[in-house]
Amino acid sequence: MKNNFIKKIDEALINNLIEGDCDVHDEILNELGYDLSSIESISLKNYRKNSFILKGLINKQKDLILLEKASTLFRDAIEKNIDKPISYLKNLIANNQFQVQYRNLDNLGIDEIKEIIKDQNLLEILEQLENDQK
Amino acid sequence: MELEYKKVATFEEKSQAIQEVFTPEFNTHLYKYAIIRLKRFFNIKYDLEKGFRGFMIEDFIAETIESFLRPDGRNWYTETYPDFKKQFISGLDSVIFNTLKVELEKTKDTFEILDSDPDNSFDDSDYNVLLSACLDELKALNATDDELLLFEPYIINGMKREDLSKLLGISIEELTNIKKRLDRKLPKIGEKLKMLNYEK
Repeated sequence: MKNNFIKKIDEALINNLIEGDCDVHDEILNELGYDLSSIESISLKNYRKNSFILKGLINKQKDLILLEKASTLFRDAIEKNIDKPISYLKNLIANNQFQVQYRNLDNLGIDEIKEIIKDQNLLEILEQLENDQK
Repeated sequence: MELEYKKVATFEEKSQAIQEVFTPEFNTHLYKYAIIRLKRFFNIKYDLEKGFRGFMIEDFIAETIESFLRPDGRNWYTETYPDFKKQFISGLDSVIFNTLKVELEKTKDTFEILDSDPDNSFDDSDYNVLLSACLDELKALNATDDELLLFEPYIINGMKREDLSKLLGISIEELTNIKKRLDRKLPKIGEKLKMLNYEK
């Protein structure tokens, strides 16, 4: 019960932040002895770093999604015996030095396909695969 | 038993929302919020240069961002938190709490603000005792009659400004000014409530 009251009070303060009103927080920080301009300068400096991390994380995750999608399409193409994607995959295997030799495509798992195609232009591959499967 | 369905945002929706809300201003707000949270819930006076035992607020914020974007990471419940900023602050609370709970024994006295305990219902007898305590503290802080009048419906019951404006016959601008004055007193009321011993 007491915690519910405290939660309501905290939510009211959080709502101020969400609306872009920092006055109450600034007053509290002043009372705690903080220099607001120092906080703003440090947070601005760190914003650039975190903004960079944010872009990197989004790009990395997007790549992982593309890789997952392309590998699944290759796996489907192998199962359905569709020529073009199979030839493309064979070419990749032939032109690259892999630690494991993939002689039989039927035995390739999703993770192995990912390993083979991970450094390729995934967007281009996806476009090609989707066209091939039409 | 009927399962409750909660709408969860996709990765694309989350990444778009983060990019939209994560501005320099919001980052500064998060920074200020985190300093206050560390003080209020963990009694930690955060050092702007050294952080707390090597933990820096910028790292908490980075980890919160990552928690939303990694596979199987934190969800965004779009119906519970239509405004992603609120979901982000809730995520930041969790990151701070989870990081510090292994550092501090004191964390056993802390709690989550937003995510935990969905039951916000009040028991009548406790409610009245707590409300009186809040109003007494407000009076001690020289709150005006308007602020006293507004505390229960606005802060505790979360009524919308528009509804209150109609109900009390006060303009939204006037209401906003009263609330601003009231807001300044809220941290002290929170402190007072934390010191009340009738409930553990």
